[in-house]
Amino acid sequence: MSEESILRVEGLVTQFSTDRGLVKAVDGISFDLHRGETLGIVGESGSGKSVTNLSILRLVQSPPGNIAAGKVLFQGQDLLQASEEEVRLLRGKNISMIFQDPLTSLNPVLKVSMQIAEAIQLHHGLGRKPAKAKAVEMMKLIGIPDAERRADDYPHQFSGGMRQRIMIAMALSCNPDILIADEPTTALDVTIQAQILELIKSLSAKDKTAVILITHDLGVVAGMCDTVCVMYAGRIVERAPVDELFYDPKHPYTRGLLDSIPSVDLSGPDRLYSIPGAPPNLIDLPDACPFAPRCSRVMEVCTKATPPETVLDTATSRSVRCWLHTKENQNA
Amino acid sequence: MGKYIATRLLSLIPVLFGVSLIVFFLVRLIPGSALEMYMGTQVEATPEQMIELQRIFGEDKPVVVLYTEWLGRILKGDFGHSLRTGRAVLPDILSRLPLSLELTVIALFLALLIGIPQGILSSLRKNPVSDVLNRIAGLLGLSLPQFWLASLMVLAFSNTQGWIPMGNYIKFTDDPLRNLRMMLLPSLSIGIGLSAVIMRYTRNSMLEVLQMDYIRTAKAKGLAKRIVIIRHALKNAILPVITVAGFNTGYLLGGAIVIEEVFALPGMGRLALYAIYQRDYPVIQAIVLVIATLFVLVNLLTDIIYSLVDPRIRLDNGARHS
Repeated sequence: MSEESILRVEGLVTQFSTDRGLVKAVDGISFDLHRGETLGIVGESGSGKSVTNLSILRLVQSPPGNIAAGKVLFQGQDLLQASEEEVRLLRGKNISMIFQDPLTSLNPVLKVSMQIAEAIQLHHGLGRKPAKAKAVEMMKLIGIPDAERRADDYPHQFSGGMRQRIMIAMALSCNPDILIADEPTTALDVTIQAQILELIKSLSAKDKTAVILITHDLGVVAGMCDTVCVMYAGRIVERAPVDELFYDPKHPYTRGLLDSIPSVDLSGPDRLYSIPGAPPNLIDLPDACPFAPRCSRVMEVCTKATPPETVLDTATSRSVRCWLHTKENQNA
Repeated sequence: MGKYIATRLLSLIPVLFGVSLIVFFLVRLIPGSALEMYMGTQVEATPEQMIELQRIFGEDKPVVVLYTEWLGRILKGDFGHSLRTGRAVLPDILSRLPLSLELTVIALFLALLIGIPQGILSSLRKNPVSDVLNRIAGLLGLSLPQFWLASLMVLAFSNTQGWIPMGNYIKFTDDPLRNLRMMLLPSLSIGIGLSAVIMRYTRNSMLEVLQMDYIRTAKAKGLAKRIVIIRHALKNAILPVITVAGFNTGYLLGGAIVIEEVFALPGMGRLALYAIYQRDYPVIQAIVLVIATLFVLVNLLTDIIYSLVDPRIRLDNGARHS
């Protein structure tokens, strides 16, 4: 990881004002992304994974959303300070996104080739015809059979897997530096999931595209990612290279997530484990570890103060946010 | 598509049959027959003369018999003659139909022209003040009676040459420009109510569509706001608006009846109005049949436009899925 980072997020805070109060969906997130790296962001629904990534491109609906603090440095430029127009021209060209549900993410009344071509037209300054030709080329590349003929079809005429391929074609059509994939396989059949992930992996490797993969599926993380950030209640609670996370999880929440993977080796009630309790309400979080109420190793300090981030290994930037692993407790 | 259109046109037959039945008996429920209206209160006639008059006015037989006779003639293409002028009904209607249609089409055009941009703007503006103003304008547009609005317009523009027809109607084919100027205010007074409806529908539909995932996708591609709104949002948001506009076009045609009277336009509506005053049954019946036919055709046209805009809707069952 000696290479300079292509994207650096520092202390990002994104809030939503609701009738019941201010929701801190993302509460002081920092991470680095390097060229060609695949970073996994894992967590339960509502942990702030998607909001983090929408914040990077400033696509959070505002109101009610609001990026309250932090920096998003893309190649040194802070996107949160840049003008709307500057950020807009980065979208789809330098940083592009794939979303969870390809059916609702594609416009139902526009031809798929047109939906792929419009980004090419915009960012490469191509005319309508050459852009469409490039779009068809992309459709072939991502494995849509009979691409020339299918180019004039509409999203509803494709299967779920094919639609997600179209989303990928759209996202990669301008050779972005960063691809943000927000649960790209969650809405797909299990049999298709591996194909789609393989496609993302091979295409990103080819152009050294950095990938941020948002998922709640640790199996996907194991197969795809170099580094993993585990999110809980709007914060990154653990960051580790993928192997270390699986073999030596530090945070009790990460351990709980790993234990929640169903195993065929076990039988009886142990076979399906789940972390007791539910994620906390993000309105007015107390100054305490948000995981404390569900934690099996909770200590007195956990309910009194928010644990600081403890860096365990500077070389791999491995870190954890847990009172069990702070310097004082390690020495004690 | 062809098969679908043919089926829909066939459905005209039962519709028109039902309409003919309703209108035939309904007009005879209006107090006072055509003969009574003709006689007034002052004229005296001998019993023999009365019998002869009843025969002429078609009041000498039971209504059911009259209906079957009338229906039989209609099927042969004979719409009968006016009880008042003695002229054939159909040519009279057809000569006045273009004016009413023009009025309706311009009214619809104005309603869309005002309603859609207003709806889009108000869906984008987060400003509560302008939103409230928009709502008030919309509510006014909906609740102001057309005839009252039309009367105000006549008052306001009566001194301005050429804007109010007032008896010197000029055909479109004779002088398009002067004709359109003359038709503007009448069309506006009919269309303004619909423009408020269209505004509300466009606004609500846009607000809904703007929350959709594919709008986020479009933004994530880096598209300019204008393109996101027009190409991605409006094309989806317009669908319910098409339905509403189509559905209301029939009512615009009805609105034309009153407005033609206020502006003294020699259209089909005015013909209908006087026919009703005079209980001129053959004329009323024929006009209602013509309007019903137009209603069905407009709805068919709406469905066709809908299927052109939304590729998910196929009028024939020929959709291709992979």
